[in-house]
Amino acid sequence: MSHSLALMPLLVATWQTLYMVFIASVLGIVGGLVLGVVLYNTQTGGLWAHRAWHQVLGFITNVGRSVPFIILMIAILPFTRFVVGTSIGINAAIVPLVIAAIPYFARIVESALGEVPFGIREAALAMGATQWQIITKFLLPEALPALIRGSTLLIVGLIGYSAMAGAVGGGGLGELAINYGYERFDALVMLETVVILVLIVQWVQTYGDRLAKRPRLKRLAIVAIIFALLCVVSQAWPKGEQAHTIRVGIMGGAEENIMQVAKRVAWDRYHVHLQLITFDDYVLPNTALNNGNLDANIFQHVPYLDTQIKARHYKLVPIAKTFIYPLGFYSKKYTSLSALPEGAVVAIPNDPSNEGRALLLLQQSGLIKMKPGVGLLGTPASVILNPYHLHFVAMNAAQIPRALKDVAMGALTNDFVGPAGYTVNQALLKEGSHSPYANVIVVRAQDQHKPIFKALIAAMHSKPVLEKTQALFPDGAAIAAWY
Amino acid sequence: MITLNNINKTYTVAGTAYPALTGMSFTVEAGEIFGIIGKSGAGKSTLVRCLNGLEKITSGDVQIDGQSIVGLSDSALRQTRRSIGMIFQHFNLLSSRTAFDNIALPLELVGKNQQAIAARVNDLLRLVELEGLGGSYPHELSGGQKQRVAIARALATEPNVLLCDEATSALDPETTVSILNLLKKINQTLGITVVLITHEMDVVKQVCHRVAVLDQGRLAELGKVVDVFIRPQSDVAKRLTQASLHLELPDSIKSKLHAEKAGHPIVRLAFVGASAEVPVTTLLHDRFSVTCNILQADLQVIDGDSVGFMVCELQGTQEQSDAALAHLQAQGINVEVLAYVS
Repeated sequence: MSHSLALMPLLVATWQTLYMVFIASVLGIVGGLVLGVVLYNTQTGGLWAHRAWHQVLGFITNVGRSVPFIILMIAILPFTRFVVGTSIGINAAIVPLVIAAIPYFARIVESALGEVPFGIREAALAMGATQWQIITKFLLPEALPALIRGSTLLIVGLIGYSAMAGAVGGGGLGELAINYGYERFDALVMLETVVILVLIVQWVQTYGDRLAKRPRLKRLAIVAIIFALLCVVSQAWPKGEQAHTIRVGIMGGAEENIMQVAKRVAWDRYHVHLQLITFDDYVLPNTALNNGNLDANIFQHVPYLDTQIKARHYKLVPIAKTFIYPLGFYSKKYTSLSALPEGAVVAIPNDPSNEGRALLLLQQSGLIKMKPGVGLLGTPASVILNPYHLHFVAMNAAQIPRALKDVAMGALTNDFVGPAGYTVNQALLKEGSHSPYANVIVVRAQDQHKPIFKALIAAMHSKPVLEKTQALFPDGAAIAAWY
Repeated sequence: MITLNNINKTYTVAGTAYPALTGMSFTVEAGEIFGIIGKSGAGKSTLVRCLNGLEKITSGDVQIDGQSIVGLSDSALRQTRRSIGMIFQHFNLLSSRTAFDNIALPLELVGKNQQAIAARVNDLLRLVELEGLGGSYPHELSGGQKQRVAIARALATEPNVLLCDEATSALDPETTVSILNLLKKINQTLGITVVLITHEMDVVKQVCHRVAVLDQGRLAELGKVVDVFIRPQSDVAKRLTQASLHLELPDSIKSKLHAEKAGHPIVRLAFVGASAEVPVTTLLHDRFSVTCNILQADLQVIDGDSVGFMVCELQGTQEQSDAALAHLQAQGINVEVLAYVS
């Protein structure tokens, strides 16, 4: 399932990565310098020795460094929204990058300053230097090679973190690699993005090492200013017709191809611009829509939407159905349900949309019984009757195709049926066309009667979209739900 | 110029008090080269740092040029420090700056303009005999050259005191001599008071006018260098001067020595100035019939003066030897009976 990426998306993704990493690095270095200098000087024997402050700041710094980045990103969404006005997009991705960068670089600064020989500080004091002069004219210049090497470490680290920017629709090379390479099993794309990332990292490291030996900062400053101007221009560039734009949240993966067709149809027939924003999880697209950062999203079915609305009090409504993507159970070892041995291991998705759905399907077949009323929120813990002692393992939906060799059977959503090498007909058990799990177009309740959405609905129900979907999901893997 | 009045310095670590300096009082005269000597741990480095406030004393008073530096505000202390230069054992030059920029640094700190700085730095480079090396980085210079840059830097703000903390301890003997000569030259031409910390008596011998001997945080002895060499009072001073004088007796003789007053005395004679004119051996033989058996001899240059030392066995009767020694002392020769040999 490999097809080479067109050059344009690759270039765009590269620019996005450079943009994010550049801004986050600059802010991280500046913030880290300040925090690092303070940390260094509040320690015993420092210029502003103050044990309590040193411990408090040290604790905060450690907390900043302890939180895994992906969790940090999600945890500070309200803060991100406060700072850049939205919780999604490339600028939103920069906020957690900076929050992660500052404590990391602060420790590097603290360590670099600590390596400056004590005698230098004595000489500075003996010369009658003020505290500010000691830092700026003695310590920082002497620590400069170590600071440059530390900056190189920071930048390379941020390149790695920026790969997770996809979780907030941030774009970049990492997101490309995950969406195409991992989710869509496109090895060539994975390779292309990895090669570019390796080249970028190599260049950063080489340039950083050379600069550490001979700190000529003037040229670097000029290049940095030019790049910063480019960033500002890229954000301020007028983005064509804004009036008839709908920001649509979708899943990264196969849906993107279908939505590209819908986008073309929407523009050609209705002059409406669909701005597609991709996500990697199932919670953020609704949060973003509810907060006004999106105008619509298309990725979930009604039972899931209902549980989310109930739990988080969203004011969202479905306005049209799109496709039913039947969930099914597939096996490399057995050809029918009755062949399953006692104690068989069954793989199910671990995401909130499909975990309960898979278990309910099994309940339908009579193999297990769930606690009444638990519905879509079911987990293996909600199974009350399990006569065959099936052992459930919940994992990332994209991992199940790769795990089929190791389990008796696994649940696959439509995205993964093809990559796993199956057609829907080969399922041991699958949902039928009367399934309540049709995907829907969802908007904010207050917007539901806006005329512009008619264009979106029409585009989604158009023949080109139908044909594309059935080409990507043949043999009943996608069923049109609007008839 | 510098007056210490009963200063005490105690370090407190985890509740335990470690006295570093106890009851230290002395005065350094303006324009002299004052040495402070002692073993490692005697408190020399602590003492010199009390002179410019790098270490704060626990009690007592330190006065520089009539003004007490104890209890000065931070900005007043900084101001005072600009009239006190300091050089260190490991030079403490900034590796990120050239020699020129290192010397310029104290002037930058007080906001002098570029021209004034350039003029002064070039003068200083000439003074320390490093013309042409201004553009070199410290890692390109030898130890002696680095210390010269450090000296130039310390003199940049025209201080009237120069503190030297083991300034030659990291240099080879030849370079040490050249640096000490430079310090002497600076003291003589610019009249700067120099306080020199060292653990080597050879250094004190070469340049200092007076020396204070420290032992475990206390002042053991203080005096002109010549006097301390010829007539050391304290054990510490005796040990230190002995190490510097090449008067060690061979083991074959040492094994025969005893303190009991029986047999021939082994004496150490020291001659300074006019007393060096006295023809000792002939005098002892002709007038007192005492044969002077020379065991060791040494000629030292102390503070520019020649001082001669002689260790000899006086072979004669006890009365003759006593009379001879009394006469030598009357001539201004310093006599010390070390031991006796049968």
